[in-house]
Amino acid sequence: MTFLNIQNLNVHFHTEDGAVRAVNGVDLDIEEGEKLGLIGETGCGKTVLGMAILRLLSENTTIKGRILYKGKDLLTMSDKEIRKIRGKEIAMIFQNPLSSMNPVLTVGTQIAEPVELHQHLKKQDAMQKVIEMLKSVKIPSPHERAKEYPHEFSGGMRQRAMIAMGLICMPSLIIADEPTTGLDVTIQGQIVELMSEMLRDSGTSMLLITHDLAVAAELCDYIAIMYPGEIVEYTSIKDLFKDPKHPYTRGFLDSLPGRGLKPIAGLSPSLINLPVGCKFHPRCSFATKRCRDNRPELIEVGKKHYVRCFLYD
Amino acid sequence: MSIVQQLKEDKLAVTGSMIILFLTIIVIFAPYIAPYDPIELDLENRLLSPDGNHLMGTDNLGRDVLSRIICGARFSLGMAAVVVMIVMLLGIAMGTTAGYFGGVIDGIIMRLVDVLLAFPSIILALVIAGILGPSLTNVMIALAAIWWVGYARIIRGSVLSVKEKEFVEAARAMGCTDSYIAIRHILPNVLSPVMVLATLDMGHIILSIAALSFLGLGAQPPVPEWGMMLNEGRPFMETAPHLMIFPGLMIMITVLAFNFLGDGLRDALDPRMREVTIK
Repeated sequence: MTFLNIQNLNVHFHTEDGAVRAVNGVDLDIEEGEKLGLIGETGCGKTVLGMAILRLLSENTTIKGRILYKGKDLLTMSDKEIRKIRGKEIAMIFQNPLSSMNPVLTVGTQIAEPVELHQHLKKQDAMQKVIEMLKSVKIPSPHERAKEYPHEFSGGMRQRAMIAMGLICMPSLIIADEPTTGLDVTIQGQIVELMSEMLRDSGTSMLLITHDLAVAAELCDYIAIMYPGEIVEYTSIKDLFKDPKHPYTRGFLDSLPGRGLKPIAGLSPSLINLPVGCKFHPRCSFATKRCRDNRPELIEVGKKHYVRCFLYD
Repeated sequence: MSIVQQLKEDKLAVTGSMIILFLTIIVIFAPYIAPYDPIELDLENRLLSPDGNHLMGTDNLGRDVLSRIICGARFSLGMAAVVVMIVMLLGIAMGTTAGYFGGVIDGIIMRLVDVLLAFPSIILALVIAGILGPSLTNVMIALAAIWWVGYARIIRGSVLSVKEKEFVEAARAMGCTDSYIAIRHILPNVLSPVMVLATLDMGHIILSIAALSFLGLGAQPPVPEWGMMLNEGRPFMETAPHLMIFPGLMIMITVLAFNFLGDGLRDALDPRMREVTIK
């Protein structure tokens, strides 16, 4: 049984301009203890995918497919059951730690919330845990810090506190949505180091959602590249740099500062009006008539290496 | 700068707080401070002008006006405080429910609010108090029944904006239930405008209670209530104006004090005003 198994996931929002097809037929597996990086440009549906796992999307969203967590479908379970999963089994670390914390509650109170909710600990015991947790994310003088409010923390400290909040219940899966975006580079390094340390110690699986390949390379075992609503390539972190297959992946790598800073021509398509056939064909220099008419399937091109492109058919 | 420090620099707010503190002490110790029994008749000393024995004179039944005003503070202020409390609780409950859950519930509550707001509030209170019969309790019920709508509106508006914040999503991702999120995460974020409104409303409610009592719907004789004292003094306005001047003055001072404090609080809690004061 796969730890987390996403099958043919489709997420569509309904707007006045038509259906926004944010996620289209995504299949994805995460094994226990595995760290998967979900990479893609802004607006390619990666955050939506993360939110869909915990059913955090608004009511009027259409979600089709199956998300099996330890064999149970997260999409069909009752509200009560999913609440027991949220925070306890699967926790989320959000992008912006300032706006993800309640400005009127102390940091300690907020970090204590998951344990109070799920382990029904008393206030003092929960606080004890909070202090331990703050210590392990290397926040100095945790006793005093726990009594402070989010605005009294620096950006890096806040993200540490968010990590503490995410990990305090010892979840088996962490969904981290751009955890280092918005921090300056030196702090980014510290947070990445802290996360890899914490995850190694606890054996927690992770879905890291980011557009920063360097961060993903540091933290993940496998990488899934997303291009409007689809996984276009899935590979181990080693093969990604050594042997990228999909033209989009190659373009993405070439656009990195260390590799020539060459942007991919064109813009990514609007999620309302997606191209027929391969979603990347309007920007792809290898595109043929076949790419314009048919949607390619994920093809296995190596050990745990899949690509959605007719070039390898 | 903390809110208390901010308030300390606002002279009017400080004056208001001092008056309110002074009035509160009077309310608590009224029976010990009052020089005479407020309801005992003394027909030999009717309608005396203010002098050394009766600092505010006596009324048409020979009762000491000062003692009646001191004991009346209990009714006017105490009742207003109770009404504000009920109104806040009701408004918060209704506003949070409407704002957080939205949809049909929101529609029903807000239409009810619209209907209540479409009537002049004091007339509606008059009708309710009239139907229930004249008594202090009924005036309180009448005022509470119409006054919560303002609070519900303000709270709903703030809840609507706060519930879209990321920390609400984070709380959901943590496994919190809807009611827990509404009470623990959203409510504390919307309370400050309510505190301002409640302080200002203390004044308005004291006025309304006085007005309803003046019209004979509230306190019944011989209870010393400021609004009713005004009414009782009315026939003697020309011969013994102190019967109306002192209760009227007390109402004015009290309402003014709450307005000063309320304005000060609003400035202190408003971040835009804060910037101006720092400069």
